[in-house]
Amino acid sequence: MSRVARRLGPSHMRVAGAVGGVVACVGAGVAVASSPKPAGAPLNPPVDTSLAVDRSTPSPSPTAAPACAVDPKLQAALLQLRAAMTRAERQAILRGLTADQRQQLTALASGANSCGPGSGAAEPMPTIEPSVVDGAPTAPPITTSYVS
Amino acid sequence: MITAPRLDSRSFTAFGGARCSIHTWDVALDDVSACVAEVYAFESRLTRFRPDSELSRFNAAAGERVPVSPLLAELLRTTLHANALSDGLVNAAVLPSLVAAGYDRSIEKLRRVAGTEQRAAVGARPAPALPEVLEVGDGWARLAPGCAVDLGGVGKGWLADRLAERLDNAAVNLGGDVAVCGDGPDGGGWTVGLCDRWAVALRRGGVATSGTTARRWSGGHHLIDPRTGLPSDTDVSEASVVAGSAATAEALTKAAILLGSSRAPRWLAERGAAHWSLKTADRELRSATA
Repeated sequence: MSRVARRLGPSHMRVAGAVGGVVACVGAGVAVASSPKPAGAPLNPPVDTSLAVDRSTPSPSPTAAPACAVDPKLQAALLQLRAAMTRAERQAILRGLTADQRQQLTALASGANSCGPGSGAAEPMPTIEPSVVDGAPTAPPITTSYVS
Repeated sequence: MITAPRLDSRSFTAFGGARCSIHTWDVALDDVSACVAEVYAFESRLTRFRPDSELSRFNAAAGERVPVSPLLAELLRTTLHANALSDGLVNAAVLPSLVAAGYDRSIEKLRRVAGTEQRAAVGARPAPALPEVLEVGDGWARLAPGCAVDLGGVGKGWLADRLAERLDNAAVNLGGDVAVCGDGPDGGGWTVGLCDRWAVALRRGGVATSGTTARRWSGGHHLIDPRTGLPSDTDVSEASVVAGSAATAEALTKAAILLGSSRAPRWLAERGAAHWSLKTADRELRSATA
């Protein structure tokens, strides 16, 4: 292992990673292109296309400075929150903020929103698969989901 | 002084009178109170029933690129994700159709107005494709002119998810959108009831229930089908779905209802949703694992 590590330095690994990524993308593309549309294929709801966003108004270029004007107090709290190791530490940071500030901080900490490289990228919806306990529940419902 | 861990439950109403509750194991009560305060702060900032809320101001500025708070930006992204996950069926841009159908004030006020009738049958049209009319960037967003969005249940689900994560070992129910995190009081997870009285124990995930049996008024209900711009004529009156988060569960539940009982089971299965229940006027359907 150590010999391999010596022979393949960081630059080699980056090249290998890039080649691997290209191969994986090409493979995935071929797989998608060759897959037949499943019988229960996603719906294509008819939509009103007359209301599209006018994209002739320039959007900020990817290289422009982020337009996100985040309260410096929240930025500082975000750094502290990311460094916090325990729930008690996280709660201590939050206690110094108003309810609205905690909400903004939570949104920033959730990732997709933070200013910085790649922050504008769309992220997938959270996972479908819950962590369900096998077998019948051992306790009656503590709460019930309902139509509100 | 060291105190033994204990189960605490806090109930309150929010989101137009919806029943909410936070159940925690070994969590300081002050931290629960802080979460309740956040629910109200969230509602205040993002309600569409107050013209000075951030959401109302964003809708009023349709056509312009406007600065938005980190919270609104995150929720707008979440609605785009929900839209993609649901093949366009969960569409925050149905708001004009919802208002046209009669839901033009809070449900509490609407229920007090006798004779409110569905008004959208004439001139109703499909909702625009959400990704075509909503752009979200870092600290800014833009809606197409004439469009408006409502964050609805996906927003509640997002908030329930974040609060449950924050509390570490808790079940957070915000008007039926339930998020769970942790092993629960007895180590066997948090048990959550579904719409048909079945229950599931979770250590992490969400349960959402939606339907046409609430938030309805004479001549209409709040589940607008984006394909028609009208209240859905689905045969599913209520549905519950269990997923990896309450926001995801909410999106899947709404889509399942709009699809109807003949298509929803297969659609849910194709998306990996293993636990769900559907109710129609004369039967109950349930996933094999529920």
